[in-house]
Amino acid sequence: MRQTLHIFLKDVRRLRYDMVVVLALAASFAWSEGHTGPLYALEYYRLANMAGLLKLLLPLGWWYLAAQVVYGEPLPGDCQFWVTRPYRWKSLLGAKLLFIAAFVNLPLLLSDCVIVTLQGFHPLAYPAALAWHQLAVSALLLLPMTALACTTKGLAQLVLVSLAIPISLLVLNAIFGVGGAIAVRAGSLWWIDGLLIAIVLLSSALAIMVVQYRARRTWLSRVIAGVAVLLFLSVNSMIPFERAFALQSHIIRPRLDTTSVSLALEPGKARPVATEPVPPESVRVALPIGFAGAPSGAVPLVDQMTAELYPPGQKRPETLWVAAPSTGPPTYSMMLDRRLFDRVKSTSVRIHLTSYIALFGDAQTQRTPLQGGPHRVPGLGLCDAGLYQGALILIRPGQQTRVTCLAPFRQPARALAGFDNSEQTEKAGFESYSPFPAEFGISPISSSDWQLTYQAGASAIVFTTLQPLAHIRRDLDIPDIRLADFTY
Amino acid sequence: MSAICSHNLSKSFGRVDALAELTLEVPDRAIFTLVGPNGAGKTTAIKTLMNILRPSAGTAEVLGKDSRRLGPAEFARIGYVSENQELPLWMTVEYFMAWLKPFYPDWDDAWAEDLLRQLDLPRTRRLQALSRGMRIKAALASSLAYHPTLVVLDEPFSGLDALVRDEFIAALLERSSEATVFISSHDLGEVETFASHVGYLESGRLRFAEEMVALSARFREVEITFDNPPPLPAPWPQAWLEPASTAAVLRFVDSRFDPDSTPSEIRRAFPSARAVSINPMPLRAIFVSLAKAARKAA
Repeated sequence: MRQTLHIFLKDVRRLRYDMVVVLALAASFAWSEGHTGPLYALEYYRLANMAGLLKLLLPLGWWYLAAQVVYGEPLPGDCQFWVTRPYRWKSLLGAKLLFIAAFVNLPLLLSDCVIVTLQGFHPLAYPAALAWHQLAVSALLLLPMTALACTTKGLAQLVLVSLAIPISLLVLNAIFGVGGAIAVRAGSLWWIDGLLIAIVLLSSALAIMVVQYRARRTWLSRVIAGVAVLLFLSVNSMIPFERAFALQSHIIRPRLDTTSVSLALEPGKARPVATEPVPPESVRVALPIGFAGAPSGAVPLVDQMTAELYPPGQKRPETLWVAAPSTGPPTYSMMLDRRLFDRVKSTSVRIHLTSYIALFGDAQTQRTPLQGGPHRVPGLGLCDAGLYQGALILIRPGQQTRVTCLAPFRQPARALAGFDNSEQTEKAGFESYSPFPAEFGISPISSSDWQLTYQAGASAIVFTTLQPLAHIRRDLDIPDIRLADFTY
Repeated sequence: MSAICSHNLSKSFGRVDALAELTLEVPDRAIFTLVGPNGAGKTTAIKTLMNILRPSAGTAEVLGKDSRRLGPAEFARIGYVSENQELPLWMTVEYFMAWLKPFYPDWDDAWAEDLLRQLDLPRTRRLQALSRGMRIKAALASSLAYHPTLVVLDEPFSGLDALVRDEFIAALLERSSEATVFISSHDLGEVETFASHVGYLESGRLRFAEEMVALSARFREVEITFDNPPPLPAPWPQAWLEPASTAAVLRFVDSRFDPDSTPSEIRRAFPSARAVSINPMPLRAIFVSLAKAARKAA
């Protein structure tokens, strides 16, 4: 421990000016992010812009500081004076991690507390979220950055490697079409990919640091880094949607009886209104699917639906993605290749639908007045539409406005908002079924947005938050259907 | 006991054998000089012995420990200085010494002060602002202040001016009675004055290693004067290197000189010799002869 402290104090002395700059960045970020409100007045724009810029600069500052502290005793190469001095590898690694904890993690923790406090919340009410935020930032940013510095000789090499990794990923994507793998799964289950990526990054970073500090095997470390990149690329294929969904179902134990929930074809339902043009090489088919047997108070939401179409005389079915309706009647549509459609349109075909459904419940509805915001909304944070300046309304009826809620660390899985004289809409972006107390990000503040059309006479915004109660899979086999009857 | 002992120690970089089957023994308290031309593998040998590079084959023991397992306990007893060492240039000389002190249980403050004074090192100047020679002196001071059992110096004299070199050697010799010194150098003139043992490395191979006294004793320059030069004896003895003849004089280097038998061997080989002169050789001349002979053989 004495040697750890001795090396730590040496690094503090060496990097004192650099540390001051990075700490100043952290303090500026805490101040600007803490004072940014959900309103859209000019002063908030300026603060939000400043906070946005600092959100980019701050990780760069951490990256620089973590790299520089490693370069105090560089690891690759055979000319370093320290390798023939009586350093204990555990003390050296401990000193570097202590430095990062003291000058990156601790300021981040303080910054989280300051921001949360300035936004009107009490940080001590979120101990798990504070800890999780530290862990997430360390696993996804700090330790991978530090590990990369452990395998490079200096900042120039580090910058080149840092640029080479994303460039090679893009090249791989262009050549081999692994883009689906590179992209993190969009949607409510993204957190599973995020967790897997965090595990890959954290474990490879720790392995690299131990290998480098214990034995300075730079080539082995670079191989580990390469394997980590390959694993990162294949995260999506490692856990396909159905497996991710099964995991999610396993994590959230159903709090209601879902056995009665089923899918059914309801041919009598109204067809949707075509809002988007169909490409000439495709045909759009709408399937009027309804849910039956949902428990009282539970609202179903389809996360994903796929269809397997069995054309006559063809052994293998055609797999098609089915798009869920954002509004209107629950009519699910799919795009068919026109040649395929022409082949099967006038005959009866078999379709097998697989639907991954989340059942939401525990609805909490709250009203907040339009004027005098921002208002505190339990479960959603600090919310405002920014419609009024004093008693003056800023927009005309029929115009769209944005409603924003700022909450510490994370938002509820599903939230709807609407004026008290109109329908509620889903928030922009996607739901997250993450069971963790904080979302990943530099800021501890998470926001939800809704685009609402203002109606004359509205006096309040009605928010509804819902919790996922169960995740279920349902299949529906339609033995004979004539697709020509369902085009639109 | 030997301070350093290696057996078939080898190190390859790809297809290049930088060090091939080095078998070496450095006796305790010796001043062992590993000499050889540039690129002979001296630095690779030292880095492999110091566990900076991992050997490709063979084994070595340093201070009785497997060189691949040298750790803090051993490095607290080893002083290593290299010409191409990357020092923490941001430190001042004074801070550099103070920083290293807690690593060494045997750090001697008074001796450290003496070294700084003796080597005329400016305490408050950063290492970055020092000349190359001054930096090597700072590295030496920091490597001697804890009374190391083994001092390993890799080409410490290259590029040093005469004054700095003398100060360096003086500081080193002052400790030589209590430590084993292992030096690599391509400058034979520098080491001749103080080395007790010498090893010659060429193309990664150790040609020989022995005590300086024995080496000097077995090499002689032989000059034979004739009235009428006779033909050279066939076969030419292997131990007689670099034969060169002018009209009436034949010169060669005897690499196995024995004061009892060599004069009579020469007389037997050259019965018509008018005069035979046998002279001791400086180390530089011995190595030049060896290098030429090795090149010729290759």
